[in-house]
Amino acid sequence: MRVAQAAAACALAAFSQVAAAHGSVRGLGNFFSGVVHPLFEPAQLIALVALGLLIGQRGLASTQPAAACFAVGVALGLVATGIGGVPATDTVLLITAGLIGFVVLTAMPVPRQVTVVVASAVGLFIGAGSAPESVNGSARYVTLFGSGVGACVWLLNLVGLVQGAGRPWMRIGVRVAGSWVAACATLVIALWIAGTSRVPASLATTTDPRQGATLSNGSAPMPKDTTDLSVPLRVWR
Amino acid sequence: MKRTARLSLTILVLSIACGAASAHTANGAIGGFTAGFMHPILGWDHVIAMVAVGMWGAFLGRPAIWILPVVFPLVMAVGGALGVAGVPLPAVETGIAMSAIVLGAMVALAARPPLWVAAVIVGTFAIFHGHAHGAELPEAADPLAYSLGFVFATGLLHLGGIAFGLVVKWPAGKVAVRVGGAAIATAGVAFLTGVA
Repeated sequence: MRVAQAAAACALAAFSQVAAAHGSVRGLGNFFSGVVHPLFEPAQLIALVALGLLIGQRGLASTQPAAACFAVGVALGLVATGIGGVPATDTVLLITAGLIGFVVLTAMPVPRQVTVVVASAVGLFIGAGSAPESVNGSARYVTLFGSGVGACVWLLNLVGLVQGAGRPWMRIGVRVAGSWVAACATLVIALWIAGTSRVPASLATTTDPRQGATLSNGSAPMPKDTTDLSVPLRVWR
Repeated sequence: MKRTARLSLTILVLSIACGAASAHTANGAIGGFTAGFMHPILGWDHVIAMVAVGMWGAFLGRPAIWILPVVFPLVMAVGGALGVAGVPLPAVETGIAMSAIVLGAMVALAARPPLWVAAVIVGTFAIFHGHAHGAELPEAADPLAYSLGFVFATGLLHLGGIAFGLVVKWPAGKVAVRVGGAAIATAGVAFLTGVA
């Protein structure tokens, strides 16, 4: 029965289509756009996953205070971003996620207080980085509220999932996921560090200097996105 | 035993049956993830080396079955960071081809070195793979989504290798895995000599 369930899950994952992120968000309304916001912000998503893995791996004893402090941190961050003037938080989130990923991978013992502080910080940075673009008035506050609810709901779901992973191979899976988070964060932090000298040259031109070239694996290079620079620029900050 | 076999077979079949995603068509996070996901999969030299890591891990048993596939992406990230930073690494393509030869040979010869030696071998070659990926990273529409995609794809390729490697529990399976390792090593020679 379980093999059949696993096969069904694998089949659904394998044959599912790519989600149309922005189209879905448009039709969701302000509150639910906020709820799904952490899922479409890669830095927030990776930080949420890292924190969920950490709290879930540490067990129920650390979950309750950490989850509560995460919610408080998110609320404070949302208030700050509602007031305005909050600096970009993606880089800090990525560094934190990378460190958390390494801790999850090594299953390093961490004092409960540290988990609580980390959860608060991640919540604060996620809240502070949730300012909706081109939304004003009451809709802005509804979206912000949705972002807060979404961040807490997604985190608790993940924590529940990880805590329920009791079998040895599932615990190993959690540690492997931690290594993936650490690897992704390492790469993007490296990109961010190197970016100070490489970004201007890369973004100043609208044509890809490697156009017509092939990548090391023989595939054509991805056309540079010249219409929406917000995503790469957000990483550089 | 039967459950493991069925699960391995399911994963293997689904890995093969997956349709190719439409890379290079979307922008932003989705496009970045897709491009990153496809990058290791589109290059056979990357694919066979990563599958070999999973196969060797499965061949060595616990804890290598999960430590080797964890070491690979972590060290690959370091290699990627070198590539991103523009630090030159000599003979990257040769290193990638050599990874297929050495890792395939390890499986074919049923080599059982100490875990740390296996981890060092895997980690050394991961630097070359990471450097190749990292050099492409600044060109991606969304670097973070790109890195997520290629780490995810790398992990799935390892998983494919592990799924195949799990058949070593049977005598015939052991032969099949060793033949698979020999095929990977041969393909590596083809990449090294420019035949493929």
